[in-house]
Amino acid sequence: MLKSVTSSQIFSLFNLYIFTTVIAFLAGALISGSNYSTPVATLIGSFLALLMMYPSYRVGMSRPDQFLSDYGREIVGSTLHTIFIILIVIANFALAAVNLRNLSDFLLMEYLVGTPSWSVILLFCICVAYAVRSGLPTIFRVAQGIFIITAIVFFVIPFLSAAEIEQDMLIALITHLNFKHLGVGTYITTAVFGELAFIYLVFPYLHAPGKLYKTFFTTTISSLFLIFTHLIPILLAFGPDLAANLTYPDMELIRFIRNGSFFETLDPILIILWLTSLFVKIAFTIFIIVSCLSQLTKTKDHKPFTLSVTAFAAVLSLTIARSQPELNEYIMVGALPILLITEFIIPWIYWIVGAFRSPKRASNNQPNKT
Amino acid sequence: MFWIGITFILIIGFDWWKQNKSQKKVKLRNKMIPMMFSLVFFILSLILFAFKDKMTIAMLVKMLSISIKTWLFGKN
Repeated sequence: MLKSVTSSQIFSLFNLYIFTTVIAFLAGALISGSNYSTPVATLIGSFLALLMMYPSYRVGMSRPDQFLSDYGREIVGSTLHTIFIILIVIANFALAAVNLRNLSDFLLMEYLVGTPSWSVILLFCICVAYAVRSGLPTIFRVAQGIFIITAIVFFVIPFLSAAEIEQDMLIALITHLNFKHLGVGTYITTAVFGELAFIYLVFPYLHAPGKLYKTFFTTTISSLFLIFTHLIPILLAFGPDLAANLTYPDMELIRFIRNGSFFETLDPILIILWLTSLFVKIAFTIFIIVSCLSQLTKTKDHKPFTLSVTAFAAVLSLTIARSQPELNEYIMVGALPILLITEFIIPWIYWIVGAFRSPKRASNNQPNKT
Repeated sequence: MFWIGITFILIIGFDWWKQNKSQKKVKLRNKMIPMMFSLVFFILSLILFAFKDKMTIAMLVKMLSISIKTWLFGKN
């Protein structure tokens, strides 16, 4: 199964991975922090993430046939490497739990009112565990299967709301740029786009690892485009003050469409797309955890870890916060900093230490000239 | 708490049975390590669930961030 994940599969999965989260759950937080500067902040954040994830690509490319969890101890030493892998595992647990919680809160608030949250999470996690047990190529294949239809629907929906948009407000995206506001949006977007970097932990699965950075670039451009097609209409239809106070602004935008009774029933389609995209995202996150644990403990088989890791992620999602505002605060104060550390700082350390050590190793390997 | 226990017992039992049924002979070490991880996750799940109304991870992280800010910049 190694060497079977193609560039188009990576492109599909990471597109779903990024634009669903930003459009579905982070639009309110982004607009709340950045107001009219949100699109520019997203643009800056995404390219900053692309730039900062270069070391992770270089680290992966240094030994494309081996897992970092295996050879990382040769670079930074056993203790530091174990700490780094544990931090990566914690960050991915936080990511999986936050996404699961967002998903269950959304379903319970909008469609399954009165249903116990554990039942929603249990059913979803059974599917996730099955996908993770099947392996990484299965998760990427699922992403490839649903990407085209998801992208088309995400692209079309904002155009249906064109009549509700205040086009005169478009100029405010330039005239109301504010450096202080740019900071919050850039902080969130850098962490979200930086999640692409986690692929350096599963390099041996990639069919053409040399093309990965090019795929990162095209993924960033395409997901930015799709995010803009939703963020800008949300800003222009509701304005920053109202949009920042909506829990799911994109959902409200669709409900805002008044072209006919047919469109009033359009939001379930969006739910289906969000669910499938989040399924792929959570499955990938949990695969990273089980892969790290199996490589770290040298058992080499991820399957025996899958069920217990998924069950723990489910319990974590149920208990991580008592309410939605507490969860939002946790994302800003807890989840995003640990994501920034694991996505950027840890690969930078591996890259810099690896660069210092490789000339030394090369000179040690040279035969003595006597 | 009862259902968390049942879930983890089922998980540990299933993994053990699946590894025994496997065509390849699995070393005892490779069976014990995932089981130990399952037990650790089980204990952590119980702790999280027991304290879910009094102390959540979100609250802990908030307290930690306030402590770090106070340590770095003082009480003001």
